[in-house]
Amino acid sequence: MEELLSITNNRREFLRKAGAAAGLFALAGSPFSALAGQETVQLTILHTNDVHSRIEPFPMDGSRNQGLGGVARRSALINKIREEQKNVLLLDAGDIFQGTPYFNVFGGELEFKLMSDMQYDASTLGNHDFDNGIAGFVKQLPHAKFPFLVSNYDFSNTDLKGKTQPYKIFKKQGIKIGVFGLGIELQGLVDKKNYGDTVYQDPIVKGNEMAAFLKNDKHCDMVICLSHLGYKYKENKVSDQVLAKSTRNIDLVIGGHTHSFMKLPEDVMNLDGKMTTINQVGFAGINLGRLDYFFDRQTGKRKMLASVCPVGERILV
Amino acid sequence: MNNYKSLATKLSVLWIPLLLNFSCNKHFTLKNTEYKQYGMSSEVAADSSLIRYYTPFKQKMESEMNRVVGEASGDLIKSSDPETSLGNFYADAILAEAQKIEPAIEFSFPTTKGGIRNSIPKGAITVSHVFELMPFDNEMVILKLSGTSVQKMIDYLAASNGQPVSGIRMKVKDKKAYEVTIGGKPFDVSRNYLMVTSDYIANNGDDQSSLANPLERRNAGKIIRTALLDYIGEQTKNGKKIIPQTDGRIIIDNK
Repeated sequence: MEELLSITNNRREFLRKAGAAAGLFALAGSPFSALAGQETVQLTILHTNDVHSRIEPFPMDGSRNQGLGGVARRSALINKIREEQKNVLLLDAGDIFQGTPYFNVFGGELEFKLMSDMQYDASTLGNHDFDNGIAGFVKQLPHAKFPFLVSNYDFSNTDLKGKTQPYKIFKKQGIKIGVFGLGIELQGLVDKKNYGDTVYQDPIVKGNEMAAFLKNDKHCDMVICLSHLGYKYKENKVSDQVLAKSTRNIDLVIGGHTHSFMKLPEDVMNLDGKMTTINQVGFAGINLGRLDYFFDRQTGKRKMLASVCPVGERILV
Repeated sequence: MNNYKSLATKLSVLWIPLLLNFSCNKHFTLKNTEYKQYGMSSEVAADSSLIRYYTPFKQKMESEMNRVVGEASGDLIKSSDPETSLGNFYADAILAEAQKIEPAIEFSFPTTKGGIRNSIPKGAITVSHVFELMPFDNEMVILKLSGTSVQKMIDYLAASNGQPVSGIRMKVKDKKAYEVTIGGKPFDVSRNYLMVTSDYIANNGDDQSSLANPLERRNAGKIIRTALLDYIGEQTKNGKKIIPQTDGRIIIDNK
């Protein structure tokens, strides 16, 4: 319980400070004040990756992860956060399928139904989501009440044609959030008969195109990439780290595939010298990640605000 | 910022990157961000409506998993021995099932010892046992190998103190194989052989490359676990139990 309490306390402390700041604004906030029209909008991003059909918590068999995870706990926590927060986005970075007999017996139906029940807003496809072939995925799609976003798989010559989306724009209290997805190279990872005529396209090229489109053409305030590329590799292979530093306009990469238990999100300098944040929360629904973004809504000219904590002093654990 | 570190270790941190100019932002400026990670332990309350929702699936899944497919007359055991009763059962089953698809197949090497994930105890064999034995969805792969390639595989089997095989017999001294027979006939390095393995082994899994460069390769269209289940099912249908046995197919000569 200690961890949970520390979260609560920390949160309370944060809210207390935020409340105090808001109080100051309120005092100064007459319609004629210079601060008129300024308001903080909070966006709460919740995310999972590589849940791998882990419906129930890991069995109590003495293994490392015994008793952890489980959709019922995740659902209760998400419900609680939704009660507290107005603007929640719930996202998954793929590999929903494979890992427990639930998948072998029901083919992913239950995974999709439960995610729909938790009101996931979007997911991307992981390599294991092809484990029952394109046909197996298509068969379960009617159970998913959320879109699958992927922009570097060309499904034109497969039965998935028109059944995924390259991106989706969410609006939360006026904030426009553009979300798109990137999948990993399937050749060598997935049996050809399972991905069929899916064409894999360069995720850096596609990611750049998609992010520029969302930022510049669609005027999104924030661009999120759901990635199943993997956090990082020793060998020279495209990863979230490579993606972040080789692109522009991506603010956040919600990653998967490498089952990385990141203790903190990582900021990577992108091609524009701006920060692209990468995060990933292990696998099997052992953790739920939560990123809160606080935006100032401004009616006038945009102000540049420095954050509270200088980058150089951040400790990467 | 030491506070930060201690908070971080509790997976509960304020994570605040410096974002000076949130690009192309017409209406909103990012002020700061905060990060939390929730561990899904038993301390987290569960949503009973979801449990109610998946319970019928759980019951159906468990009844499928608990379905009895056959019977083991004794414990099928795995160990680091050159030959084990579980390894023999596994390799014999895959050879028999593969020969139904391609009768010309002469031997099997369907898994490494490490690929066998659990043992099968004496008594009723359930679907769950087979899932625990083989949780992965690897597929049977049929390879045509040159005699030279088969020799490479034999060298690997000998050097690694034996692996689960069927249709092939050998003696090993000083990590070298001798008196090798395949399908009851002496191994002939000058001819080609048809064999069955898994896509995992064929793709150089478990740090071995003994089956690299086959002359031909094709998928048998059946996953290993299904083949194991089919084999047990057929034995049961024919009134047979799975009998744990070692038959000296790989003998290490330590003299």
